[in-house]
Amino acid sequence: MADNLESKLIALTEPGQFKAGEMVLGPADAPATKAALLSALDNTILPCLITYSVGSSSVVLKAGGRRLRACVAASNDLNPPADALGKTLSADEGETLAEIGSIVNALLACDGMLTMKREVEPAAMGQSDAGVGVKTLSELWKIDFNAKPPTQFEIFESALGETFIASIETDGTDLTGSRGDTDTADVLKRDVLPKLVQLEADLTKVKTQRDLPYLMTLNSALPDGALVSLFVAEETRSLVASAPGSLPAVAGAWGRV
Amino acid sequence: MAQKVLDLLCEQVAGCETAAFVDLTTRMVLVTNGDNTQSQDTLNAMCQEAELMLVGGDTAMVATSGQMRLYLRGEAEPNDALCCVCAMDTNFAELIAKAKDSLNEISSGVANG
Repeated sequence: MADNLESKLIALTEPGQFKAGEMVLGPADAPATKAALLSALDNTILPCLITYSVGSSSVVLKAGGRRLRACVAASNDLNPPADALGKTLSADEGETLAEIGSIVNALLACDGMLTMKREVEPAAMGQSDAGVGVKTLSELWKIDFNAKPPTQFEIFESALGETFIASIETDGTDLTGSRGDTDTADVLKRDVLPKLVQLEADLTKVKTQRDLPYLMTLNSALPDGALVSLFVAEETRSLVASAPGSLPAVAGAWGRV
Repeated sequence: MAQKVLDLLCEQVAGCETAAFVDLTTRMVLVTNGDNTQSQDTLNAMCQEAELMLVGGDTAMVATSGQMRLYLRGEAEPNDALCCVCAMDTNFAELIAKAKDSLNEISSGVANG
């Protein structure tokens, strides 16, 4: 019963949503994802273990009361110093905090999506005042805690993985960003965007379900058979080119949004 | 029978709720799976959407928060197309492969014998 109550309390303090016990925070190297990592620590009330992963790389942090209490484990590829693991933390432990910061930043430098799992810490940690708040961690680890969370489009784009070629973002008319292969991004902006904006206008006369945001993907917009997806949100229009035949990946990425 | 091919497609691919064989030139839905629950208006709208999205190509998709719609143009008969409505957790690789087979089977007339 205690476990149930604790689980419910944890759920109440969680700002996002978990899918199958796991939450995707975003591309590991994105500033907003790094901020989300700190946010998860800041959102803790009861003692818990948080496992952050990028692919097979992972770090397990113990947190509670909005403070980091310890780094419990880390995968070997992140080169964790043995004496940093399991050590109860406080603001006085500058060297250990720096070592843990190196582990966390090594994880955030991995290529892929950062995911998070959280579970109740089985052994209660008592009322110790040990631990470090995220403001201190933010300064020590050089992570901008105020970075904006990833947009749905950024999550979608990152989830395309290796099939991603290039993307452009617009506020409806003007270009606000581009990523990936520059030649393809130029083609998207110059040739494809006007056509798909027209297609979107033509489709408004068709009464199919298209609640915002929605995605349109076709294989006719680029000459080499690459797919182009138009991501339509309330005030933005974004285009992504992905590899020919990548429709299953596109559908999977949409499911992450 | 074409409907049996579409029924089989929906049975084989979990999450595929509707499969409709359409003629793009006349924008007519020719046959759907037996358990189809879409209204005629919705099917007609999907037919129009397919026509617009398959211009110059043979594969298109529209994804919303609640469903995904796959549109495929026939290889041998470019005026033939298949429209599928499926749930978000549908295995899309499987759906595309089996939907292409179904479309070609119906389009080539094998299923009409």
